[in-house]
Amino acid sequence: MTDTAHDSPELRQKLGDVALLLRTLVTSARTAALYQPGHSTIAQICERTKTILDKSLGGENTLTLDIKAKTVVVEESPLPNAPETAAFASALHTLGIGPIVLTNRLPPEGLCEFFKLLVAKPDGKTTLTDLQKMVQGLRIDGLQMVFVLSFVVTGEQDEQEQLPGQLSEEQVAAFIRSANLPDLLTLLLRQNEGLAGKEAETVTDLLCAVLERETTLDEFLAAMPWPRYDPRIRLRCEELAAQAAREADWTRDSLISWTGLLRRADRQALDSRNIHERPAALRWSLDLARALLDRPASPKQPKYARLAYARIIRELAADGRVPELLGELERFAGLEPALRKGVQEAVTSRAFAERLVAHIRLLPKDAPEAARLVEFLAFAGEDMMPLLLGELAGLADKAHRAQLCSLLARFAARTGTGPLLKALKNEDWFLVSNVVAILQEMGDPAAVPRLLPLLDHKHAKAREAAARALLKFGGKDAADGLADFVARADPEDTAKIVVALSLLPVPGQDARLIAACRKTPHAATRVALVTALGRCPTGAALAFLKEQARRTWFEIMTGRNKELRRAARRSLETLRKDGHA
Amino acid sequence: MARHKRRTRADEARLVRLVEALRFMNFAFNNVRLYPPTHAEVVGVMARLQETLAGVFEEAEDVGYGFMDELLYIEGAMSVEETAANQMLVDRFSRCRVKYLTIMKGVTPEDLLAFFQLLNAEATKPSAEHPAELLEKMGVRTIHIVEADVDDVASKSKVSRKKTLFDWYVKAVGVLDALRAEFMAGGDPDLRPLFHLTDDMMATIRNKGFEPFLLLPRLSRGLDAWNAHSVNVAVLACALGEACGLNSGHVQTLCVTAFLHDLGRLIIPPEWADDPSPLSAADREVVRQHADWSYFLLTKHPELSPGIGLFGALHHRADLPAGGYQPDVIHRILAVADHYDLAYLGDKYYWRHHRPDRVLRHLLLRRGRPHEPALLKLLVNAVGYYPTGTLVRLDDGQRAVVVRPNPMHPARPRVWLFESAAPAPAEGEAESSLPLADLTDLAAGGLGFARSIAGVLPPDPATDVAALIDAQKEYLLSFNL
Repeated sequence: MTDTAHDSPELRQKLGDVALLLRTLVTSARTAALYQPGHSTIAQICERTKTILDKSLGGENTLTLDIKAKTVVVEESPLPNAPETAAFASALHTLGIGPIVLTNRLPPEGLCEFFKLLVAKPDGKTTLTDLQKMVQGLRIDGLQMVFVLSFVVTGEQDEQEQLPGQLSEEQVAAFIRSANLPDLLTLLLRQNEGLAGKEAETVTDLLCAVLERETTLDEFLAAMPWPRYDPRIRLRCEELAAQAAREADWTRDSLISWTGLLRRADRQALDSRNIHERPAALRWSLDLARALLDRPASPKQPKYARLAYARIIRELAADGRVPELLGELERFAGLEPALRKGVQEAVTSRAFAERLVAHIRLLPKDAPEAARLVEFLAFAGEDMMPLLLGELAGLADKAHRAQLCSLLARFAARTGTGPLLKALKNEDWFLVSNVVAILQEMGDPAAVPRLLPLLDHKHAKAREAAARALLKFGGKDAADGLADFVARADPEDTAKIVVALSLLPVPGQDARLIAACRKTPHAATRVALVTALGRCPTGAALAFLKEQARRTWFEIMTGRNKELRRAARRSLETLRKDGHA
Repeated sequence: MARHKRRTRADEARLVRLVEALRFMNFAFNNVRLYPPTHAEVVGVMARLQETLAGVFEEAEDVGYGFMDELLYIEGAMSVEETAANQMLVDRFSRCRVKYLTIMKGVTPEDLLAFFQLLNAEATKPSAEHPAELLEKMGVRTIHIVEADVDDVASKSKVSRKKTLFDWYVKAVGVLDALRAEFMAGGDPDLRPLFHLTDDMMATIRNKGFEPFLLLPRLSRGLDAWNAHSVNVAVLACALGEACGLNSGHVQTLCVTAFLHDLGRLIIPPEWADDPSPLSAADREVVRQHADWSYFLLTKHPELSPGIGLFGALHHRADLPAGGYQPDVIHRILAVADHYDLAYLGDKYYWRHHRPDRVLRHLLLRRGRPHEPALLKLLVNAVGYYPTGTLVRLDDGQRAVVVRPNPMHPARPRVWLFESAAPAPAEGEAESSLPLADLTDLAAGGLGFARSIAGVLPPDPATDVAALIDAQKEYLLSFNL
């Protein structure tokens, strides 16, 4: 072996694995010797050692160890010195054992026997010669030992340097007598696995894979190197496979052939691991609950059916499944109060509110489903309103917002405006403006006193919305509030309000406007109010306008009030034209 | 004979990462104990552990480590070598009652930190609560712990008797019994004992195999028939789910569903299970209703997903119309397992157990109707063409009982030659083992098999197979058999 090969990482890895194996074998043998034969610990130790043996084999079928005095040689490379390696070599060398071949067929029970060899020592009753004779008569499946004094056949078969498929006539005749496919393939495997060489190993792999159902029979038949085998073997394989596929004349053996191996279609079926997703399971469960509610099989069933039904509804609500829930509206009425409460609680969730709002967007304008939605919300109760308002606060789309506001207005009309009025105290001007719009759409004058404080909201949009709503509501309270607001607010907030206020059909408008005009510190507001009074044909208004239209010393001295005087004159002129002055 | 399973290069690379993660877990245990949570040593090791695991999650949804019998299992395979290298870690996890640990995709360093903090606290002073529940309370959803039951831990004492699989079976039936009583009282019982049971079963089957579990139905005499049936179905469903390659979450759903699918039978008088007489038309109507009741009881329970109730309702329905609900893989696996264990071939008798081999044959001869052929093949390969516990006659004239299926050959199981003399104990052995035969063993010359099954024997009053198995259950239920 060249130096390069000595240094190869693969070899170093292999030597390391073998050293570990020998260490394990020696320590396991010593440990097993401490227990009574048959003790369960020995079985565990053997299993552990078998695992390490498999790892040391590293995918190979065999591992050959050459024993030379106190050293062990693997692939012509001696293992590094270690106490366990020396102990292993000495124990076997003493018994006259030269090379040994460990195979992957060595079962844990065989390892247990091998442990006894490793700790065997001559004593008063047994001499070394007795031990050597005993060892030479020992047969351990999957382990071959070559003795330095004489060659003894041990294990099941000698490992042969031959190609796969080299069967004697006797073997072929015996193999094709197999009644079923697993039998035939098992016999082929057992014959082949003792062979050395890459091609033989490939066949062993193929046979193992098909018997363990890692590959399909179809793949196996296609991959086997059939030219190496007697044609009768392949023929028998195919004959048994065909027999297994024929349903009409099934026998025990054809069933065994059929069940023992997977076909391509089986693999495809097993690979499609479809599992129902939750939405589908909920839908079917709901169908089932409905069917059992409609057609109970016994008088006791409806009670339990309703419990199951309520659970499904709760799950649907948690998932925000609006269409399904709307479809169940009529059934909700049939639920007992406790179950109704449970469903109501389930529906009252942020997740459901979010889904419901998203669902609204999909509805065409004036869709009849909107009425069902209102019914549904009415069933859910007023606790739903804050959640929906929360969603409203985040809606950017104007049309979507309008749809929701319209729905909420109808909802509040059924359940009351309490949550809406509460929301007016929110600091979010956007939400407040929208709530004001909802209240405006509802047109309930009881909201006026709650809207008035909004005229002082810190955000102009909210103030504007409140003023618009108050003007829409009209009435004495609204007019008083607005006039009061006009008297103290900045002119830019009040310009439109003054005009609208003057048009409100509420008695005493002239007095309100005059009072505001007298109270306001802003000249621009006064001008607006005086202009507005031009639409109030009352004596008080005329008198006030005349007073304001007069040129005063204040104006002559300061040049101020000129705009006001001119506005008053224009208002008087308007009234005069209309025949009021 | 178990064969060496070859690892691909990708498998090797994955294993290296999993072992690397173990190394970081060791550091994590120490660092969390020594330093405050914000210390760079703690933060660093959590990040490295998470990065290492992230590499594994590129191809898998979760990874699993088992700590059972003082051994380390990595993704269901025992690793003696890594056990030796990580002995301290194995001891630490075992002491903290962690039997199986699943880390899921999406795990964050924060989750890992919370997990190791919890384990350090548990190691210092064991909590009265289950670590898994504490973890859930901490909001960690990406790490799942299967706990060793307290009595499992206690049973390590040399004085106490070692727990066997049969003890687990009796306990499982008891858990279902208690649940049924609570459901019957009208409440929504605490399902945590059932979830613990499921986790425990899944972890054991994944790590040690399901084969010994298959003998348990033969030992169900004296136990509640319905509950034992549910446990049997759960075991089989778990084995089939693993064989189908379902992920941990789906296997768990499968097992919980299997345990509870027949809950509706609580409306049926228990004594009917022992009544050999045919059912009247009215009785049959009551029996038919059990599926509806399973649906009601399972659906109304807030901790169970609606899909579980759905299966409870439809598990006997083979005539589902196209366009509506169609069984998914969980439903199909459960239906096969249920059909096999219940052996319910008609509605004339309420509860008539047929011979499992006959049920299997019946299922096979009707392949594809109603069960999927590929699933039937998996079933046969799990239970064997001659199911475990079957009394058979071999071609050499001997009678034997099938004790283990053979994963590579459905018709060549391991059998117990119960009429043969036990092999003579080896020199110095206190007692002998049972005479077992592997039917894949070759005859001398290697031209054929040494023994084959000639046929299944009908029940023989003189040979009580259940009693035979019961007498040797400790040996036969061993995972090392």
